Amino acid sequence: MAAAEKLAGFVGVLVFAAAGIGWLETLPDLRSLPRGRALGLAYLLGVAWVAGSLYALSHFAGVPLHRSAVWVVAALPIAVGFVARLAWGSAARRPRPRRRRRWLEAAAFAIAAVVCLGAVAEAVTNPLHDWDGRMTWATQARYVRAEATVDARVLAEPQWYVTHPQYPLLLPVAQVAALELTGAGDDVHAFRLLYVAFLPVFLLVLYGFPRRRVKRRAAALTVMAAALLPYPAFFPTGGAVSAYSDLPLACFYGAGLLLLLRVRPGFSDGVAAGALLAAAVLSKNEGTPLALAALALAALAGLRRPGRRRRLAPVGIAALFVALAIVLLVSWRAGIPNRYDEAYGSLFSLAALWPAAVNRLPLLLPKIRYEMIALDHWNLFWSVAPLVLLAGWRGLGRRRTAHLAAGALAPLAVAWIAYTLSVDPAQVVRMSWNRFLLQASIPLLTLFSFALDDLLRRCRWLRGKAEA
Amino acid sequence: MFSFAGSTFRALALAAFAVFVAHSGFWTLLRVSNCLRQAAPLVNEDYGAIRRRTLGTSYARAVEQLRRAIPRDGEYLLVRDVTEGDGGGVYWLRFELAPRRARFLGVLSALPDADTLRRTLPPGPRQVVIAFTEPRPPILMDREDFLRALDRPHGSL
Repeated sequence: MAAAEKLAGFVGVLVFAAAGIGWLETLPDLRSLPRGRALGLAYLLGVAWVAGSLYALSHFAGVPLHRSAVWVVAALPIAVGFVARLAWGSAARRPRPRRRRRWLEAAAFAIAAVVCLGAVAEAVTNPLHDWDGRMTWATQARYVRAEATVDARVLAEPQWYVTHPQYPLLLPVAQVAALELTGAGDDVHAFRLLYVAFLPVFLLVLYGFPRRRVKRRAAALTVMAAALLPYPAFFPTGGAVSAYSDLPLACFYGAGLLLLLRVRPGFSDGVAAGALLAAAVLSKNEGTPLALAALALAALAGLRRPGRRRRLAPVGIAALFVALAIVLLVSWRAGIPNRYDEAYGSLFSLAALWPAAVNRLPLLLPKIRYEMIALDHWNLFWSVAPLVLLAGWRGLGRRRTAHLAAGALAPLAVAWIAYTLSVDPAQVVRMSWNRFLLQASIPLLTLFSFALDDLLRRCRWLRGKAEA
Repeated sequence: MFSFAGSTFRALALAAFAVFVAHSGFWTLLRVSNCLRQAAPLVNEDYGAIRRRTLGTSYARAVEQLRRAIPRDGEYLLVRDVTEGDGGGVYWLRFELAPRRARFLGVLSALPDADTLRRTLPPGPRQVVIAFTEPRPPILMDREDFLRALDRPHGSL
């Protein structure tokens, strides 16, 4: 019985994925994606849809966050997807030649699977024991679930002791949905699987999207490297085994950006990217600037190519989703007095940024370097990555490199603004730099795969072995 | 000459990457095997046992007592004791007691005297919970008992 209860979290994961698959079936350009890539995208779309809809329905329409509401919201895309599949059938699916999986790909997938299994084992064995998860996210989820609304009294009344009450609630609402589906009690930590599931999704996004631009071995090695990084998988302050919202934000932002930067993005890409970026807005405070950065970069990429109107249409569709999410967030926050929060927004001014943004470099760069070279955070990755990027520099001459680099810099720029405004920046670097780096990791690792691809191509002595 | 230097540099970069994969692979597999080794014998462990194992028996028991004393939709006054360090104990306790609503009074050593505090206390919550640094279990006190105790040296709480 206890074993079954622990695995109840899989019900939530499966329902989110099924809802996402339902939506994918209705998006003509995306329904023919390869299975792995579709599954990763489906999970992200499912969480975005189920939790985002419940968030909006609860706030705007007062719909109680009970099991019946969760089932209805999740069942809708499943039913729509089923009808779409019946209507369009397999005609839209292009038959794909069956490819032989090479040993490097097989090894990368095996390593990724083993790492994910380890994270699942940790999540089902132990209760939540991270800092922000217990201080903010999971506590807020308990308040929301108890009152069955995102406008819970405990958040809206200023006398109650709630840390960061204005933090966006997408992931806590997803947690409530996952627990409601099985009627689990407060102490059941089955919801941790909801967060763990973002790890394979992160790896699938990293494999699937750059895969069309690089050879399979480079994509596979990038996935292997990402799976072996301690921080995204196992670190208790932001990794998949925590209830922090940073890995989900990294997935929403990274996948949304990559969809919009496709060579010929279409209507489906715009809708999917819009849903993911809207989810980014509703996941964390920094989600809004990141979503806006992704839209701006995609618009720039579209402006620089012929056929602007056609290329900008998906960006416009995505912008509509992001605008709706911002409206929801602003409206929800309007009823919640802020307290027990750093309130960076109120500190923000150009005068506060200058010259502190430069003056603090000598103090903070060594601390940032320490965070990046600490073996238990990223192992040797950030010592090795610059070498690979330099040696494979020709691979960075691709069309979207500048946009991806800017996309990777966006979370780091948000971090730098926070460090500039903070009264104790050294402490904030220690607590948050790795999390911002995680948010930037999908575009960063995509660039890494470009360089690795070039490096592998140019090592002729490897060619015979790798192609074998 | 340049071609040789370039080839050497590429080989070095790949070798460095291979070192990263080998080093990180070893530690990752060790970590995964630890996770699996811990999980296997605990598959059938119930949630009460999990809480006792991770929080400590006395802490888990104290939280259960607090949960029984304060109704699920109730409220309480929360005080933080940092004499043994400030390891986030107040957050962990608030999480354990959620969705019960907490009203934070402050750090125990910084609270005003009992008369001043009595005048500023809100009328609602009757129970005061004092959170310490884990694993020291929290204490539940009646509001009046707490105010009386506040007039004595803090150690007597």
